[in-house]
Amino acid sequence: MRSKLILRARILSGAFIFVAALLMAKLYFVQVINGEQYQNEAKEQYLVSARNQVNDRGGIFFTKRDGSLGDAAVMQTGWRVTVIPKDIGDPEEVFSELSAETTIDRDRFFERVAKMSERNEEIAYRVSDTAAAAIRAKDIPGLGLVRDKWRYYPGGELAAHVIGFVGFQGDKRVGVYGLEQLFETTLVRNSSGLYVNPFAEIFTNIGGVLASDPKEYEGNLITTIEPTVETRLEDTLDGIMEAYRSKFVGGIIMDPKTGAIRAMGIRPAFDLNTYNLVSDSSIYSNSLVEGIYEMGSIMKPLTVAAGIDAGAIVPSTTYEDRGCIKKSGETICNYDHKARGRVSMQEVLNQSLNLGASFAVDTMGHDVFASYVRRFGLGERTGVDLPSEAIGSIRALDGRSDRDFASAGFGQAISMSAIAMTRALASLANGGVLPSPHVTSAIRLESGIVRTVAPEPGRRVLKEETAQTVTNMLVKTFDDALLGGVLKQEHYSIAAKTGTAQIAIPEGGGYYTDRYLHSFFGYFPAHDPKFIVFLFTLEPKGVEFASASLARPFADIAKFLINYYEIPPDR
Amino acid sequence: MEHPTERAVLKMLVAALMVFLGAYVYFVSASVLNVIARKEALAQTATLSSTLSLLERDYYTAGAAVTPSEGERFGLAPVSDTQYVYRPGTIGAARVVSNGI
Repeated sequence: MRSKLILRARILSGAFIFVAALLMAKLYFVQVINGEQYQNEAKEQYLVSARNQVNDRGGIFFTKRDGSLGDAAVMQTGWRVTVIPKDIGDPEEVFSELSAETTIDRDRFFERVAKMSERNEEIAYRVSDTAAAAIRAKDIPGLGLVRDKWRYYPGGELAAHVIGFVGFQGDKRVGVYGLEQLFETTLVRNSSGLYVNPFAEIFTNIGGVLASDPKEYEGNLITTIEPTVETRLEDTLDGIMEAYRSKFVGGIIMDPKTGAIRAMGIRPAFDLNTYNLVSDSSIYSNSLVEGIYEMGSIMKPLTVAAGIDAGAIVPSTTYEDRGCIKKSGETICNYDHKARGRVSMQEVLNQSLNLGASFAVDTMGHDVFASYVRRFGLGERTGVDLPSEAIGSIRALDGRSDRDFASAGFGQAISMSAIAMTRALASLANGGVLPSPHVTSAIRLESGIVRTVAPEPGRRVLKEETAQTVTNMLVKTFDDALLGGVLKQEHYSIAAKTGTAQIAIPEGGGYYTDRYLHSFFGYFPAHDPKFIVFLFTLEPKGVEFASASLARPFADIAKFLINYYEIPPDR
Repeated sequence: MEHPTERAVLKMLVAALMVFLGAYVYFVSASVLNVIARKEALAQTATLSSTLSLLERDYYTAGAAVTPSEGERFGLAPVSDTQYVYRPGTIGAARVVSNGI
């Protein structure tokens, strides 16, 4: 009897302890884990709708010249102001009191207040902590403040096409352009971050350190973009845009040895913080990566390099220039239709002679030329870490048309993206090796550990001596021929070339006679290059040749980079 | 009828219960403190990050306003004729005994 009693007492005690433990656990979840949420519900009786709820997201950073980081994209916190219309006293008075502290849309405010409902209505977003404190101090009846979070881009327009932005995909907020899109897995945060299972956290951190691909783990992006260089490039592009009212202007500044892109800009641009105010969404695309164009005469250095590398020509090789020739029954001419007589390959670059490029292609043989174009990667993606990269179109080289091969030699009939062309030209600056263009240098994991993102090693496309020879030719072109040599830098050797391409009529049937694409590239110091600069502009008005539109902007950028990075003179 | 070892086992169980209870309270408290500290840290990080991003915005805007013409306002002038010094080799190549090169 006694033992039965003891057993019952024990069972009962066990049950009590079990229930108490359950209650404690529940209490823990209610008070600690979800405490903030319940607090918000209780205090404000208001929760932001799922559509407007913004989760945390990893940051994107620029890398400044000294290696320190600058914010490119971050999460910003502030407040939303809500009102319960029924409880608001004099709307006019409330409006003026609120307007004194923050920007309130008048129409929205009175439209919401006029509803006279008992439900919370939002009247202002993204209110700063200071303004929120001032509003709270006024203690206005019917007014509430709830936490707000949003994606903020401190640079505004700066590198907008590279960074991209977070927008809606259905009801979900995701990165929709640029790095925000490509690194969605790295940047997205699915948890509130308040309660983390310590064991899970340890294993995640170890996983992030050991993983072959750190992009799969939550982290922050560190880019190679230098904000001051980017600003300078974009200022220059603004100047070109204003002077020639182009359809658009673009530019890339890259380290030709590593492929690290220091700046990439396009005009017209848009402010990432107000992207939704743009009327034409095509402006969001990064045309330097996503578009392909016939680049014109900046192809000639590659054609000459292919000829020299194949052993078909040398810089002093001459040909008889007659101004125009027939190819596949069609006439191909120099830009001015003038004959030069017997001229060397150096003059082909100096005077940008189409017939000289055609001669080089014929001399090395069409198949050899086509194989070099493929080796330069003009018909493939570069693998740059930006979304939607276009593949170049070099189909013309699959046919047997002499005209197409001749045209390809001077940058017509084949088209490629600006980034692919920059990479190919960078091989001249990089001793004949193609670099791997990239914008992301590292990922800083949530644990604080920084994992370097190593780009793919580039492949050799030219002999080192070929790259050296063509570099010497391009230095002569810049020093002696470009604008009569006025841009020559006494103590710095610069290798550069202009390009002016006709624009093909989309429906076929030839080229526009009044629309051009101007391009320009240059690298310096020519024999140990730190930068390659690529500029191009589509349909500039009131200017015929790239030497007139882009040479001086290039020289300005080159001087700036030499000063900013304190590059020592090389001659 | 009580089993002879029941009292000892009961004491052990009670002791174990106390230990587990203590451990539970300790770990729950530590977890609570951890969550509170993490919450506080996240809130502070968010505020700092927000302030920093606004400062960065001002920095970018101010940086963009610095142009060569701005330099003239501060009395700066472009260097008209830069002189470069060529110094071959390193200090080891110096002919002087001291390192006053």
